[in-house]
Amino acid sequence: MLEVHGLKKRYGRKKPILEGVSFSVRPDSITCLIGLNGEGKSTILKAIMGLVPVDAGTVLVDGEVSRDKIAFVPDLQTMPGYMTIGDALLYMNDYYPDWNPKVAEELMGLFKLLTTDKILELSKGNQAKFSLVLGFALDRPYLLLDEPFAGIDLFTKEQIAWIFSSHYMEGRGILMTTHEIIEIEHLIDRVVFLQDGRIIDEHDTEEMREVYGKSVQDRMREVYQR
Amino acid sequence: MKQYLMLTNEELKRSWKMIISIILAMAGIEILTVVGRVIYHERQVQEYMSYAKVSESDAIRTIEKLSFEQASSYFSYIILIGVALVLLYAVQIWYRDWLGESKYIYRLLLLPGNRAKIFFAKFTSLALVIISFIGLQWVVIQLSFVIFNWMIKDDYRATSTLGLSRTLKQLYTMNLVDVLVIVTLALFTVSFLFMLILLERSYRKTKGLLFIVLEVIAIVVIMMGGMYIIETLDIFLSQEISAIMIAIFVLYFIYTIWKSLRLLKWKISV
Repeated sequence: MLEVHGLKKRYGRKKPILEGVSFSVRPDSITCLIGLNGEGKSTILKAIMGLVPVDAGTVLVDGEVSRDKIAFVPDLQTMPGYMTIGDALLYMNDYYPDWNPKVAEELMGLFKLLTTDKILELSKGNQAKFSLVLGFALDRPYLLLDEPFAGIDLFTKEQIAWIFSSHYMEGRGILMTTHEIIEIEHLIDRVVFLQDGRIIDEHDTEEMREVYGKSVQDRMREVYQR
Repeated sequence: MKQYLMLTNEELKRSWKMIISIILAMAGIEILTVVGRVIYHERQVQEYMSYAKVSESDAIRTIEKLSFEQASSYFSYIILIGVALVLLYAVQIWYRDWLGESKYIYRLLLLPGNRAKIFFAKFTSLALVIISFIGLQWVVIQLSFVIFNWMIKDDYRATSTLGLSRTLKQLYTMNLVDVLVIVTLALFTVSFLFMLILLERSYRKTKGLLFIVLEVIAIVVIMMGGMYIIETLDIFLSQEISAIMIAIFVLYFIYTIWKSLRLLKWKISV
């Protein structure tokens, strides 16, 4: 289980962006962190990965303070601009002992990406796909995705949604931030609503549908339009 | 260790074209200034001969013979530009990871293992650039001296020994210990600069600037204060003073590295 306890973060003298955020991500499940722009969703993911220091709070992965079991896919390109896709794959193979070249190759084929292409010359959609390959091909039990559907076409969204329900994700706990719920609503196991740096609501989606008779999209409207 | 070596290679790979171009451009300009000075000197003598209607030896006596020290007098300025460029590279080697087209800093900070390897990879890249720069300058001085002797007529040349200007002598003493001191000082400057950059990248804006100012004040106070105390007490021999100053430098050098590594581990932000 990935457990986040009491995350607090304030930038300078501004209003705190996170005010004691706590939630957990179960293995073999997809948790979606939902919030309007600037609510601190990306900050939470970065804080979990130790990419921004927090003022308070802890992150435990299966009871340990370790980030080696989490793969992170940010919403931007993280490989040096001069590299080709092939260079980047070799880089991952060299640096990460848990890199799975077989999965990478399969996903490259699925996304129709070429190893000779220069990363920074890829279209926005292909850059997003390639970032996903880099995250998905790490054999890690938890995966964090920051806006994985931003700027990509409908067919790619469907491909990614397919990956979520495929054997590639078997046993993995996924935490993602997204605004685009509709395409993946049926895949989400749990939703966490964030507002003003606090968690204001969280539900198992199954329970939400059965007990309240509401979709995630409906609940989102209720929460943010009230 | 393997990751550190691979990262160092990666850092150099990202900049080698720029580094080689700059080093070669500087070497080329330095050699050209020597060639230019020899040609200009010869023309001065020829012009004076035709203007004053005197013999070549009389013209040389008036214009004065040209020494290598004079011919290489521009080297100091070019080397100063080189030093400025190395410092600029020390800044760029960090900031490109945040401000470039891709945000490579995410990847670096997420690499498995200790983040210290990121610092030491960048530090080693700078060290290699500095050592190459110093080494190549030494070669350029020797080469331009050969070119100088080959181009200039014997009667026009002041001396046949490799004389250097006072500023250049400070940098190229041809003494191994002095060269080591120069390299150490350069690395100290780089580690100090790295610490300031990491402070800024950790705290950003006003707070970052404030910490930078405090660190600069601290080093000035430590150095000036140390010198003042030593001079006021007047109980140390010159060798002891050197030892104390070296000890202060070494301690501060260790502090800058320790501080940088702590910032990278706990405070750095993407």
